[in-house]
Amino acid sequence: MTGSQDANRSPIVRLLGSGWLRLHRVLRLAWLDLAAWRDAKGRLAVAIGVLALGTGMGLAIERVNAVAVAEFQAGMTMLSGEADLSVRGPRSGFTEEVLARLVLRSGVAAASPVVEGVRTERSSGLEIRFQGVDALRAMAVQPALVPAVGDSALRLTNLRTDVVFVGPRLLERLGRQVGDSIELLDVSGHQRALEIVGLLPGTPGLAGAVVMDIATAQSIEGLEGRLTRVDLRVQPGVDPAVLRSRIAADLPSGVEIAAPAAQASAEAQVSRAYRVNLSVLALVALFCGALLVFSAQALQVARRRSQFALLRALGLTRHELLSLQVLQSALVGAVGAVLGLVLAYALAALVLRLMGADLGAGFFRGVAPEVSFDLPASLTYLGAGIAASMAGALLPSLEASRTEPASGLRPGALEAAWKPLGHAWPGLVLIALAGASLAIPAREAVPLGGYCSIALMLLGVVALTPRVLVIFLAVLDRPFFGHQPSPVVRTALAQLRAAPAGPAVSLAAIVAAVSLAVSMMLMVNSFRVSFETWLAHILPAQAYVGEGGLRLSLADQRRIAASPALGRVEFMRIDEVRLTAGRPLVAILARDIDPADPGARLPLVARAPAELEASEGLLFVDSPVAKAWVSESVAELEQLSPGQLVDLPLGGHPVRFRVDGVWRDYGRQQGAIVIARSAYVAATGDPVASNAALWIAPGYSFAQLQAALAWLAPRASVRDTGEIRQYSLSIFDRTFAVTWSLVGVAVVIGLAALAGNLTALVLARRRELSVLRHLGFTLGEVSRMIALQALVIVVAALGAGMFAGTLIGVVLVEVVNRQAFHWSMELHMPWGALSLLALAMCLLATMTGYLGGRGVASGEVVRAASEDW
Amino acid sequence: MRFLPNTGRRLWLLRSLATPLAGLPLVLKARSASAAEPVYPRVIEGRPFVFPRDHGAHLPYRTEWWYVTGWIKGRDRQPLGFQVTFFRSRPGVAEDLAVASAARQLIIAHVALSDPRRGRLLHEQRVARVAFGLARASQATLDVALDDWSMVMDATGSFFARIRAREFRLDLVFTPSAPPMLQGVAGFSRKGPLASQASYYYSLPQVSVRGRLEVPAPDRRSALALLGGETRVDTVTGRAWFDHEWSSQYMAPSVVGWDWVGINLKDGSALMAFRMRDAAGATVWAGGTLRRVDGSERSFEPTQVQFVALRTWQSPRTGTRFPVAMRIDLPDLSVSLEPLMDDQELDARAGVGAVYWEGAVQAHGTGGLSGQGYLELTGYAGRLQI
Amino acid sequence: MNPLEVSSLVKRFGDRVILDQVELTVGAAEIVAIVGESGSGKSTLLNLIAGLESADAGDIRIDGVELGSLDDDGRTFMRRRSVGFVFQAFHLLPYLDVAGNVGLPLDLLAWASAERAERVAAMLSAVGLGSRSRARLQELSGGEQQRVAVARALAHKPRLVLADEPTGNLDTRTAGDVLGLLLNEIRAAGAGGLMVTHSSQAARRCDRVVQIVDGRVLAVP
Repeated sequence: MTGSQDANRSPIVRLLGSGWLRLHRVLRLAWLDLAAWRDAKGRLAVAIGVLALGTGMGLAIERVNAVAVAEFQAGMTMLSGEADLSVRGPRSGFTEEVLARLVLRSGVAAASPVVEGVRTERSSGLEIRFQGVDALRAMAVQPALVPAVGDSALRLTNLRTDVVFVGPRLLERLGRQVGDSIELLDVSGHQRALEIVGLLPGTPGLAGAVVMDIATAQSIEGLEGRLTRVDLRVQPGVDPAVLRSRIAADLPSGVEIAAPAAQASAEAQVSRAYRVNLSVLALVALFCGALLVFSAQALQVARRRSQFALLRALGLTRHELLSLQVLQSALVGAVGAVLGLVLAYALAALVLRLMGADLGAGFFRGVAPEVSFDLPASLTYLGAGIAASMAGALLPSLEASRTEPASGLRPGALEAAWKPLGHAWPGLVLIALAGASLAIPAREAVPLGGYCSIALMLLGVVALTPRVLVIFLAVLDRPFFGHQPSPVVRTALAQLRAAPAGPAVSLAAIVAAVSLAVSMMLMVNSFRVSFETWLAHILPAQAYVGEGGLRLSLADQRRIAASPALGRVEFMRIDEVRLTAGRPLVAILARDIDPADPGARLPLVARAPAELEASEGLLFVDSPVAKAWVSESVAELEQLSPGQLVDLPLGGHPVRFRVDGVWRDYGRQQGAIVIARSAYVAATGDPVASNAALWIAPGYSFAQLQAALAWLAPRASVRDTGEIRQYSLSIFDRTFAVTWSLVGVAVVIGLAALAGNLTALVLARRRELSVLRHLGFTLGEVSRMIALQALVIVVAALGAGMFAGTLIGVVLVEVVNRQAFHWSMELHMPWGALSLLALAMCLLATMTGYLGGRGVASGEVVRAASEDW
Repeated sequence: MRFLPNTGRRLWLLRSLATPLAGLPLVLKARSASAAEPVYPRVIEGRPFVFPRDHGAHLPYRTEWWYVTGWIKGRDRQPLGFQVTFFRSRPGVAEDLAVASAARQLIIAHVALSDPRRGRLLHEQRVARVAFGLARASQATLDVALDDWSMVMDATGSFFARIRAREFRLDLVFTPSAPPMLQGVAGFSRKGPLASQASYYYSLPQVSVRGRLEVPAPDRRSALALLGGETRVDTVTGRAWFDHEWSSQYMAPSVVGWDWVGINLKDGSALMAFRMRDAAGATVWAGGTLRRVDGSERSFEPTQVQFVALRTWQSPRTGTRFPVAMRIDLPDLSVSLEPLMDDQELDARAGVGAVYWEGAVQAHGTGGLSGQGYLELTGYAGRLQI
Repeated sequence: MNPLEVSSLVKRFGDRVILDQVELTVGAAEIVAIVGESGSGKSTLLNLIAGLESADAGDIRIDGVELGSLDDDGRTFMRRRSVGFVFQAFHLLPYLDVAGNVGLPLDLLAWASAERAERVAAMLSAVGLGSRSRARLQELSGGEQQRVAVARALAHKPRLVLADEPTGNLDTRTAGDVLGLLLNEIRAAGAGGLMVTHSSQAARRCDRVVQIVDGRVLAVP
């Protein structure tokens, strides 16, 4: 039964009857035809492996992020319980009067005050994020935070100031039981032992939470008389939106009100760019997988052209032949994707264990979720894996299906088939589009244009690769210093020049992998070098004092300054305020800084012109506006530029500042604003400092300084700047561990693709190599010839890959990072790592070629030439 | 160890406080010595009362309350009963932390409205720590508050109660007609066989009331009715009984509950009587005071006060039987009590954790005496302690 | 010195003896045809002589040099210098043009370019393709491709030309032409020729015919 017979029947009969028969037949054929892949096992394995990696990494990242964000959001919403609205203030909170006004306001059914804090637990070293609640008021809003202990209607145990309630998962992480204690260091440096008297529910968001009495939290955080959050329940019949806007008008500056879920998603937003970034990288891995399937299938199709011709002659329709090929690639994709799923869940569990839910980036502190199986996500990535494989196979399969039944093997058929790839215009158009798409603006900190550009650039370079190889070969085709190259070289080049299609096809995956690796290396290296420079600028002193949440009173400050071992000291106060409702908190760094020379302390990237300052001086003689220096992300998010005025909510009131400069801050993605400490104290009346930068007096040593300030223990210790720098860099490296592992994967993909494809190419040339051996090429000469060809191929791939990788890296640095994270950096080529990569790939190629050539030319050489075609 | 207080009536509150404390020793073992039980002052005989200072809070003592019950009438002349109570408790759980918001003092407030046309109580209770400027108990004079509920005395000795409950609103001004009536021996009120089982206790009987009541129409019970404008705003007048009592000590372990009554008699005299019951219903301790029209007072010995149940009513909700009609036999006097309505049960298990009956009663006595007062019946829903 | 002298040659595959005490000599300008049934060992003998497989016993001397005394590279150099090949399937290198294919053996022997060009041109005109030296293989017919193969086999003036069914892929008329050309060229060069063939017609045009039967070489009268 042929396709044309089918076509004569009614569509319904075709659909119901022979449709199935046809499918069945194609499936059967596909199964039988799989045997043809037997001698392509290696390539197949590499393709499956890379597909598995791409799917696995993509899904793992998706899962880790999904559970982290879910846990984080659940944490925020669950902790707010049944609240309709949530009032949130800066880290330093707002006065308790705000609560009193809220409680007495009509329309508010219940209001529950909360003091949130973060402290390090002494013996476990875990960072504990805790909620201080008033059990009696929380019962009406967040009953889950007030677990009953014993038979207490008044929850008297919950009111104790020396107890905590802990979520079961955190309890397990701490390795403690109910009845044990946790120890937190409070702001005044005292260890506070809190007995664990009960468990919070094991629901998401609470399983890792810690709840204590509000008074306890206030005293630990030094927030007596202050609250950081009030959760509200609205009276039935009152519109929360209306109430919200009414309350908002009445709140102190810097305090916002919103539905808890909205706030949770706003907070989770911060990490979105980072998450999208990683997911995109995983997709690139999947793309590499597709390219590997493409080259495997392409070589297979080329090799089996005569077999396809035979199948066509035997009565397989063109359509069936295509289905056959696509089905096979779907099967390959399915195997890879299923392996990928297994890999994904293992990887996700491992990542969560080793790096935490934020993949090391520090977004979700204290959140420790577990991987959960998710069917839709798993199916999506399964589908993506299969689709990638099918997409990779589509072009070669289409080509295969075009095989004419009679067209056996004419020499050069492969070359004819792949002629379209030799055109330069599709690649050039794609690259032009890549450039154009950079103009697409970012949406919600996701740099769509950047990603688009990277994808197009990759495709473009891959499409240009055959052309690049041809040009490269043409460049090589000239005498070296007047010397006629040896027959080995000439034969090698002649072979490549005449038949670049095979190598070009296998080049695609290598080029993509090299591009990926190079771009990531360029980005991370640029970032790391910039980060180091930034660290040096931001940490000018020789030593620092300032653990998290340290409070140095005026007396402390005087005592520190009086130390003879100290040449100079600058204090800083760290606060957090909300500039815009719905956005995360922005850090306020109130520093002892010279307003005339901020560059001495801050890595400024922009500064208000001096003339402006001069004219300002005339305009504002009576009330000079204090200067503020905003970090790049604040400048971007709040649309601030030097010279503009900005109101900072300090001490509950808006205080006007003039933006004097923009500085680079890699420390706080949410943004930071530096102001003079005198301005902060004037606005808030709060002279407490959070840390101190110390310069050692001449003639004194660091150890002497340490000894002189030993009285600060256990509140704080004096730390050497070098140590801090080292520590910061190690955090940086940990943050980019995921990125580096992606680079590693890209390199492995590149190398695997290289080795696999070279071997395949050598195998495909058995007869030709045999003839060369007959003609008198020694084994060494044949091997050297193949090695040389491999080297030429890999140099071309490296050239194209490094070119594309550099462009992509520049896009990553200049577009993606700027838009996603709002930070700038200088480009720094990782010459060492790049040379190493290039060297490794050249060596591997040469070795694979040499050994492959040797294997083929020595063992099978005899029979190959005698075999019939 | 049991922590049942001997402070007489309002045991339901103390029960709710005592239960968690009963669980405390287990926890205390693991705690440091610094977090030990606070020292509460003892109630001793002969302490002079100084007003207005003693209208105010006595923070060191474990328990204290200000209690107003009374009968009022609106424009329609139909009688209503009301109860407004502020309790103060020092549970002794957050004593070691010098932070203003620590829960060293709690305020528990309770309001109830008895309307025979409604057939059941409208009531609401609240609990809060003394903190955040929302709950307070002044030591200078009567000035207690919990959110938008408050009871404050002015310089003239009048005081007002302002209550914003979910289902009704009360604004009442109370004007005492006579000086405080010191209960027991000059305000030292024995509650049990041991001398330590006692409280400081005085009352203001025959307090005239006027004010405003906002309440939904009786057939509409929901809060929506209140918001929807189906509210009746009424000017009310009536007579009330004010109690103020504080103590630290415990009562006999055998006591499961008590009966208490305070009556403003029509002729201007006033009667207070109570008895502490054991599980069998027998009287463990009793007492009472009669203030005559001329201002003279007579205190009764425990053996001189008899409570006799005349009629019981069973709650359809909790199944508890309460002797809602009673006769109180005193030397030379016998008073029968008939409730304004039978169902004046308060099911506060979800909150402070007790079921009790507190209701307006009509009193008829020998010699043609009549009056209106409040009867409190506790411990009928099973033992108050578990 | 004879181009080829084979004596007492033994080749086994496992227990099976493929060639048993083969004695064979090919003199200068002499062309010997080998006939025999499929699997009789004809191709194995050719491979052994080409130095692509090693014998289990016996001597093979090409131009007087004993192959057994050489390592793989030595045998390759011997092949490069002294042996030419013609295959049934032509086995030209598709990425080289006609002249490139013919010149490849000369390149391997590092002929100077002028001499190489001259020799390539001479060979091509000898096989009748003098005008098509720049042609690509796809443009050639089967007969023309085999002519190129003949030119390649003799370009470097080998002492011995090995041909494995050189006309097997060609139609009868073309086969006759190409065979004549091959034999003529070998004779003209004074080389020895050894040709495996199924065709008795072809065999008859050789100087001598031997048959392989049960691993032994028998002269066919």
